[in-house]
Amino acid sequence: MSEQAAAQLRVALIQFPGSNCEWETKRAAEAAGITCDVFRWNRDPAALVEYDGYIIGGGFSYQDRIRSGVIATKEPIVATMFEQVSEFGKPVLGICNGAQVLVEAGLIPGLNPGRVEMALAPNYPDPRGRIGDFCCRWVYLKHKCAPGRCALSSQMPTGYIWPVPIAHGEGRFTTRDRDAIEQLRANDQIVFQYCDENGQVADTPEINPNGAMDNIAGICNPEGNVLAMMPHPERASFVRQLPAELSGQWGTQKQATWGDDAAMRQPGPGRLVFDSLREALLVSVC
Amino acid sequence: MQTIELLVNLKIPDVTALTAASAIRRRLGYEEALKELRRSDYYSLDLNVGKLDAARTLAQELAEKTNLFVNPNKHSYAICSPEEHNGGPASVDGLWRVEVLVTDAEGAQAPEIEQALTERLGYADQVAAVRQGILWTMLLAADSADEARSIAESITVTTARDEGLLVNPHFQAWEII
Repeated sequence: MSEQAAAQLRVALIQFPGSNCEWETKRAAEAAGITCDVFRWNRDPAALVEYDGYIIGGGFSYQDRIRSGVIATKEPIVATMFEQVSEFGKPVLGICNGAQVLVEAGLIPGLNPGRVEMALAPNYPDPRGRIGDFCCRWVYLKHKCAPGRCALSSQMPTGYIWPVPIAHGEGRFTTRDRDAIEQLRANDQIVFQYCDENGQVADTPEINPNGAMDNIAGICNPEGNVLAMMPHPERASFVRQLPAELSGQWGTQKQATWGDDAAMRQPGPGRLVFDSLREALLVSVC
Repeated sequence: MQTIELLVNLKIPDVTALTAASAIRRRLGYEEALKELRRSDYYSLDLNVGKLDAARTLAQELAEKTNLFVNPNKHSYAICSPEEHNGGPASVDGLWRVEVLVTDAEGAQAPEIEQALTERLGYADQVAAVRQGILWTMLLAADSADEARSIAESITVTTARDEGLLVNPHFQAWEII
């Protein structure tokens, strides 16, 4: 990819009232070579069609009133984005609150596009009895789907295990339609699963922090151009963001960077999501 | 055993209800139909008392003394019995009042509150069970009770981006009470 081509890739990072991750997400996207504009929700939606793809970042749109993300889905800007995705296959990355918006908008899982087929329900309560269902910590993800199945994870090999932070109170992927889960498995739409540092996927509170069905942390639509994920890859896009106490390669790398600013700016594991988005944008505009 | 209900409301304007009403009117097309929308925290208490009056007295004590249900600085509350609901749309001044109770689909039990009441606050003999949810009260313009019920259902159940708002049926349950 030429630098010129990369510089021409433009995504709109949609900012709702209550979004709070737009600037760090913009920085992560720009580090991957994507031009990223913060696009306020109350601008003319027609301006959205000029962009090659979209990001909906984390936060608490509309203060999470009623349910996380649901008020935002009713905005005309989401209808326009839906049209652009459906008609032109533009890529969309929804992170945390963005994932909640995509699910409530019927873009994810998208088995019947436009229908709400899942929920991001409140996390299961901590079984140790602590009050408080908002979970904010580092977890590990396994890239589950086949190479290239999801355009937004195309730069990761299947089985790739990476650390990433979560911060949500309503992040439990669930559905009352068991057939939908079977279909997601059959379609290879489950992109990320919560796992331990060795890649073991188990439904325990330590590994599956919110009690999600099938340990699901991220799902793509059947076409693979829309990804909804609860963890925050933008907060793991630079080595400096990683906690030194991480075990394995990334913890070792972080510890080795002490005092070295250039090394701190090296890509973290989450950068691959934005690298994948860049490649998806290139495909989309070609 | 008596079952009694505690409805807790904000004294200040409820921005969640206002936002919901705005979205329902402006985005879902119920500008004319939805006249008012109110939201209450709903608690249903199974109390080990013989008579309804005793249940009301105990519920009042729980509301005012435990600090679990009501913060008097910001909340008001009302006590009622399940029989006081209409089970469907009720005609009020030419409009229809519909009450929609939303609970978690996996159960409305409130174990933390039950535990606090029975294990820490000394109500083990008096409180048998606590359930919780959100009660939405709608005032609707409609030609009939059936139409009002239909509108309430459409407003409530989210089936698509532009259909429904108050409930995601994949993890929530609802009923008109």
